[in-house]
Amino acid sequence: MKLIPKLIIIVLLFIVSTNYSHAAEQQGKIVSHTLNNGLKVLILEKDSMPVVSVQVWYHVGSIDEPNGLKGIAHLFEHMMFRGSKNFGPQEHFQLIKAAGGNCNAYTSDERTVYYERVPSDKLDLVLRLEADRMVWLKLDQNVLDTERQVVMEEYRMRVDNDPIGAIQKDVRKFLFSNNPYEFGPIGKMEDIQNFTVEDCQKFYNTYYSPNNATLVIVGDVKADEAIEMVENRFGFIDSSSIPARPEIILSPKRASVVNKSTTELPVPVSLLSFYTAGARDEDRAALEVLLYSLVDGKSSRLWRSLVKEKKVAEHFTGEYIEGANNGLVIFAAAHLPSMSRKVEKNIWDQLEKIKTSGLEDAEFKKIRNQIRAGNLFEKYYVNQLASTIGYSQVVRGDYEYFYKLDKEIENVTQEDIIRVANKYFNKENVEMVYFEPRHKMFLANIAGFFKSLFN
Amino acid sequence: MKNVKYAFILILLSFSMVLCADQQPIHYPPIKDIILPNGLRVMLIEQHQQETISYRVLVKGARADQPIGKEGIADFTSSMLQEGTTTKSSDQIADEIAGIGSSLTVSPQPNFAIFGLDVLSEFSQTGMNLFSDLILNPSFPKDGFSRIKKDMLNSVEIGLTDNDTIAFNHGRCVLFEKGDPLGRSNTKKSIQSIKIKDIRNFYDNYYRPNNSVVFVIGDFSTEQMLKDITAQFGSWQSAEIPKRFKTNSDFSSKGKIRVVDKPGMTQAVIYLNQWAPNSTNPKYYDYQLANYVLGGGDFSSRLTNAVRAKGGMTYHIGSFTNIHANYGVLNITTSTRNQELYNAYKLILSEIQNLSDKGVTDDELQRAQDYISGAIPLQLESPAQVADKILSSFMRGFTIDDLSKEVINFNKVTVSDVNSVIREFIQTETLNAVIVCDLEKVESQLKQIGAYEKVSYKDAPYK
Repeated sequence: MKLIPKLIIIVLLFIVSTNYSHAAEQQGKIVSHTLNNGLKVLILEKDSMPVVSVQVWYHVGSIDEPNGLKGIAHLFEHMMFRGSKNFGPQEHFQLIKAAGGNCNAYTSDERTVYYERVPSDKLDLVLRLEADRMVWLKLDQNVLDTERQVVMEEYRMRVDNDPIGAIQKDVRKFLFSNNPYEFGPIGKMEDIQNFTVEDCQKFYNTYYSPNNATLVIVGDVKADEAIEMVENRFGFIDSSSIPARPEIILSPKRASVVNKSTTELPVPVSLLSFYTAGARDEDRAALEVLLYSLVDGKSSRLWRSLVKEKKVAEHFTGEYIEGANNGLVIFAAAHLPSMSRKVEKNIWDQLEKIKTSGLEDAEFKKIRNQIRAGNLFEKYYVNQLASTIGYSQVVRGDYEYFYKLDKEIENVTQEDIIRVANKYFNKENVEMVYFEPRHKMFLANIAGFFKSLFN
Repeated sequence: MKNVKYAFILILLSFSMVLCADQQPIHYPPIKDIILPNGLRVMLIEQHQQETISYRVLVKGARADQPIGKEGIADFTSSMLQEGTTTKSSDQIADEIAGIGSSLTVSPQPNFAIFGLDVLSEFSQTGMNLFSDLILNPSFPKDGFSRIKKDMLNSVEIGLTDNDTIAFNHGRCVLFEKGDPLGRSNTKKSIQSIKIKDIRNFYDNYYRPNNSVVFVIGDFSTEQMLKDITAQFGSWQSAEIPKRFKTNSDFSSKGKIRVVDKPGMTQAVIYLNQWAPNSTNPKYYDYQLANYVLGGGDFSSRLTNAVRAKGGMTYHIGSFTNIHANYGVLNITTSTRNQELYNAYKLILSEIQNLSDKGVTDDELQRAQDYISGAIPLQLESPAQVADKILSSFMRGFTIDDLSKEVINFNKVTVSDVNSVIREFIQTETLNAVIVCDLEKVESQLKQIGAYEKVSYKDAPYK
């Protein structure tokens, strides 16, 4: 039950917990504070600009959706902007805009994040808005029906009418069939059509609670004053019993077998997906360094080999996607017809080199500089800082990782690289997908055929 | 009286940004602004908030300068700069840039391109050497040329799978007069026709010091930086710059409708455009506020409220402006399920008509002014953002004094000013429409919309 007696509200308003893990006055240190209802608050003072970023990370995502309700976490993200007890539909957006700020939200497999960036004197307004919808969201049939149509339009735009979205949908089907990651945040059209107000209310009551959220504040604020505001706005909200998220360990279903599908894109696309440990694993830093060496820009090993030197692919990209306990490394190449085997072989050749010899000293140096520079430039932006802090806490499990970003990378050794390359990049741990263009292109086929002969 | 919230219009931090109240200017940091003997404008802002330096080089050679039939040459030329210099291969360039933890960015605009390199200040010298080498000494090697050409041909092909890109390319073609390079998009034929000698000519014509600006902001000594820039760029040879096609904004031209048939779509994309006042027009501020009320303000705008929040017809609808010193364009874009095409189209037009007939309210204008005056300082969080804002504003004819008074100028605008600019410029009769759709599925609705020109998505937007 979310509504609590007025008396308790009044009492709670005056309770200020003192379990600070850092003194607020320490510049550049995150102040951590947990309300009695379980809301974790992380504050970083940054007074270089009169701006503040506020992010509420709810520990709920599409993997928490039961069968039949695929897409409700994302639909819910929409509903959170459609009015609560003290604010009308759209008023959240309008008030933030009127302050010169911006706000939005996103849903992932494992979390739903709401964020605002406003002049720092508007911090209390943002907290009031976030607290109001955490406890008093309005859910009714009219709003649900309209927002359902909006989400279905989003589905058509992102999946039905976007070849990349369609590829993502198929990749999930092949990589995660019959597990909670299968449909992703966009969900299933037939489920979205059938959500009821009761489904939404149940989802809200189950997951939108202070003890299932982390509140991150970064900007020109005083931590003690911000904590007082947070206590005032959120302190009265009841905690609730959150269902434990079942442990899900992903692994290939059909290792080294090529799954096949089709695409609207004019050229074939080959994907190799390796299952890795998640963000909480000790291999994470080594994997990050390894991925920089393989896929980051035109000095990376795979781009240079596939696109520039061997010319077996037209485009190449790679991603390291982290969940808390699962990770994926995806290599994707667009290439001419008949070249998929050469693309695949080339990727394996490059991986084998690293498995045997690791990286060159210059690569270590380059990657450390890249990551160090990225971290330093991030410090200009309150939103990015807040995102990194939220990520450290919610995904990696401890906000203190925020301080260790450079150090973790510095500590990665050649042995670590060789070890993780051998551990993850092998044929028992890969799922492959091949996308054939639906519209055949005769000239491209001919070109691909000859290229496959002479490369 | 407008809300006083500008106690916050401090821009960049520790240096020189002085707070201002409601009607006080934003104080930009002091700029060392000089022109070298070869005509190169150099702008330097020294600040030491973090140990970083952001380099920018702006070149006024862009899409607006492309010869007819060579569409794509501006982007092609800028991409070729990383493919090799007279002393370095593309691999060496990529390794050296990555080695200092940086990357080269290119931001192409219709009238200019901005090249950027953000580095840690400990790599200042390496960054400067690399940057100047790329800009001044490109070698345009054959292998890089072939690869970029292939990339650009693929992009044209892939662009045909992106419905918004299709709509936008056709929209430009419908709006700009025949012969204006800005109305033409890249085609396979135009990319195929580009030779290395064309790239070299484009570079020789436009990549000149008297057609460029170097802007550096960050952790350096102004005196030393000026010496370094003079040493690196001082011998760059100036030349006469070819004249640019003069864009003709015909505000009275009746709107046209083009339907782009793309079988298989479950949504129709609606893209509308018309001419808008350029940045030198005294009504620039009035128009920006009008656009916010119409569709630029997300959920504070009329289009979002009507078509998305109330109508549930779309995931996204919005209007945005492309305003330059010599022309301006208003764009409106959305996508909706096939069966709602006509309803969505009519609703958009009726919202525009209503805005034109009845104007904005006091409350709407106040919200627009509150947003814009609050948002402007927040857009300047990093030195790189300050650099990009100043550079792009200069290209639109604004001075530092104009930027300082930007918030004040927005707040001076009255309801009467906004309604006057709406009546003058935002009219349904002059709106062009491009609808990308599966024609067979929506043909009966299209008949209700009116007479239209029909093309296939595979066709080049222009004849």
